[in-house]
Amino acid sequence: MEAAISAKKPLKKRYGKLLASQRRFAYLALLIPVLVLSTFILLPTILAGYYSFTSFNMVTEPTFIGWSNYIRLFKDPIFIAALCNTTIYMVACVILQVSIGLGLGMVVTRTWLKGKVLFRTIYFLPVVLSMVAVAIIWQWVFDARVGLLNMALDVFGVAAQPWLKSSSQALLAIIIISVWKFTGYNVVIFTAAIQNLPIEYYEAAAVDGSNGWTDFWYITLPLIKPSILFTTITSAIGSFQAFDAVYVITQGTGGPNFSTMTLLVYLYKHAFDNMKFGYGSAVSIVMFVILIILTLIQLRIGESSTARDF
Amino acid sequence: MNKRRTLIFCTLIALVVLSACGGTSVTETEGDVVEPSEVVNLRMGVDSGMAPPIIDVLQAAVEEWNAANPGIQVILEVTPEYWVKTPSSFASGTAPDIIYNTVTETTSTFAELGMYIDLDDYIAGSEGINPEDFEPGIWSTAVWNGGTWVIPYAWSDLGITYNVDMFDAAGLDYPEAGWSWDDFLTVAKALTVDTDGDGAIDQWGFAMSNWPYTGLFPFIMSNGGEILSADKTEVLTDSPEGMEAIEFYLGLVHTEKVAPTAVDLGENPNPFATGVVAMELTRSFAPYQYSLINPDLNFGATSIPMNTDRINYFEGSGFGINSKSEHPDEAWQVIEFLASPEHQLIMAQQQIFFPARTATLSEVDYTEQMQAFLAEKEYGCDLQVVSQFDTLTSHFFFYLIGAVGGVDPIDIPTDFSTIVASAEEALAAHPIK
Repeated sequence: MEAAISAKKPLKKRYGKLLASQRRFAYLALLIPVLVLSTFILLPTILAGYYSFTSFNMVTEPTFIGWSNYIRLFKDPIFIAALCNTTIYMVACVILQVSIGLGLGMVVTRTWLKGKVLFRTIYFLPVVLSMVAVAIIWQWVFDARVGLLNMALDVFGVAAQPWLKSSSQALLAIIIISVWKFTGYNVVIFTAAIQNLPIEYYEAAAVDGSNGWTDFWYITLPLIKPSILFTTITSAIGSFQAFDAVYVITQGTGGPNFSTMTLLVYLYKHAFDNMKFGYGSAVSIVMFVILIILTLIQLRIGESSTARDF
Repeated sequence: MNKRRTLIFCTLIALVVLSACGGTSVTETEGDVVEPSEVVNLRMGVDSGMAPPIIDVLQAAVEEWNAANPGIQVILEVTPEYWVKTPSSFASGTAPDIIYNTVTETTSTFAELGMYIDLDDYIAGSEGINPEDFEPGIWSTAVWNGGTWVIPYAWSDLGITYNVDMFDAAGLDYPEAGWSWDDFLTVAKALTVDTDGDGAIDQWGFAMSNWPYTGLFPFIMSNGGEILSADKTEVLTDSPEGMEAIEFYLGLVHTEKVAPTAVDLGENPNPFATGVVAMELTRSFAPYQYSLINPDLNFGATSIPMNTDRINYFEGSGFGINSKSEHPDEAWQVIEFLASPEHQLIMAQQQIFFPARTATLSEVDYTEQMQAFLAEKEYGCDLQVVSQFDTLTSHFFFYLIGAVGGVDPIDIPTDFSTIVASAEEALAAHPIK
């Protein structure tokens, strides 16, 4: 008996060995995604940072030119236009995608609503469609001569609008396309969040005589703040990188008077059409910095809001 | 169990790493890439946007060459996204041996990047290629910064195409070569009509173009204006002649309203071929494009209307040798073959492009419309080859996208002073050689 006991290793040592084994496994499991992220995200980001300080056409060796690309960038009125357009587009898309997504999420989670699955499917269908296909379809919807939208307006006696052909309406048209395409994703997020809320809060509030609006404002909204923060951040990041619809519809020209020129289309034009990779890299670094700042601000707002609630 | 998991993950990691170590893909093109052996294998790259009949002609030429030259085999690579893929493939050392190019804009671009071999020595020692056998206006577009970078293959020029049925319905005489701006405007007004009596114009006299080479620049030059100074440092479009031409051209849609606005056109890609407009300024390969869209279109062709000068200019294509090719001498032989009188005749008989060889022009029985374009050859010129679209043309192009749409108001003097300033800034940053 004593020999058997002494032959067993101490508990601490056995536990330590198990922990080391699990640690090895964890590192091995992380190795593949780290390799992939490093190769396809970290390394290109570092290279972009380097190329942004060079004149580089991808054919000849890069030539160091210091801050010239960045100086030229902020002196280019087309870049400024792209920055303004992208900002307006992002703000509008975030507000509309989150608010409409939340509204539809609230409707879809009503107990009295029949066919919830059908509605969720309908709202999510645009999300899974190819953006190129969506852009081509909507290009025809917005067609000034035979488009469905102008036909619908004609029924109400409204004159045909130029939409994508007008510098004052083209960006609005692109925003509509984006909201139609991506709101469904937020609907799914909010639906899941709302459905997981404890029903006891609503029962308790009902005892105190609260109504639908009070429930929403004082119970639902505070409890789904993490989901709101998540959808705001993802909508902001996604819309900041608007490219497909604009490029397909305007053939990369940015529309009339650059009214739909976005940062990514601007980057593509200079980096790939004009073969100015150094300049394009500078644009990408500026976008990266802006997105980082935006995300940090949003996270900070979210954190302070959560801290207040508790 | 731990050892098994470790082994599984190590295997996965090895698979991921090894999969990234695959051989370099050449290009996403049709046809197979043949490994070199005692036979010299060459690759010839062309743009997939070329007219299919011309691609077929080139493919037939390649097959004829291969049959007659077993020691030098050529593969034709028809490449999508050609203008982006070719420089990037050159950077990775995988560009074709023979590179096709459009001589007006991109030859100097590729030459400046070092993608081409200067062909002057080859030309000097060639019995088949003599610059004097080629159209001077076309040959000059292959020359840049003291070198000859491509051998011209085909070219086109500009003209006005007009809808014969619309002219007949309006009782108008067909426009004659050398006609004036005034004649042009008079005819355009007469052809801008409400054909179905619903109070809305549904037929316009002229189609605007946002591409400077087929819209704005010809009008500037036909008014005695110029695009660039002789030393290519100054943009001259804001001269009195230039501004007058710009006012006239943009006035067609904004004030005279003889051209449809972007709202009137919608997404119609070819208003002339679809019978919406009576005239358009276009290139000599337009008849081929019309035949694809509307084979029954009854149209004629004539010169660009002039105010002071009768003008035209050439655009074309040619073949050059990749500076990294391991077989430049063999590539030269293939180019000589493509530029031979026999092959030039086969290409010209497609009635899409004109052959670069002068003698071949007289051997083809061109259609009436093609003859009208060909007649303007003597007024043609090299439109001052520019290095990269970015330096000059783009500044006008992006402005014209909105301006010719006729939807947003324009302020021509202010707009063009801005365009000229930004174009000259770009020229200063990237001088044209």
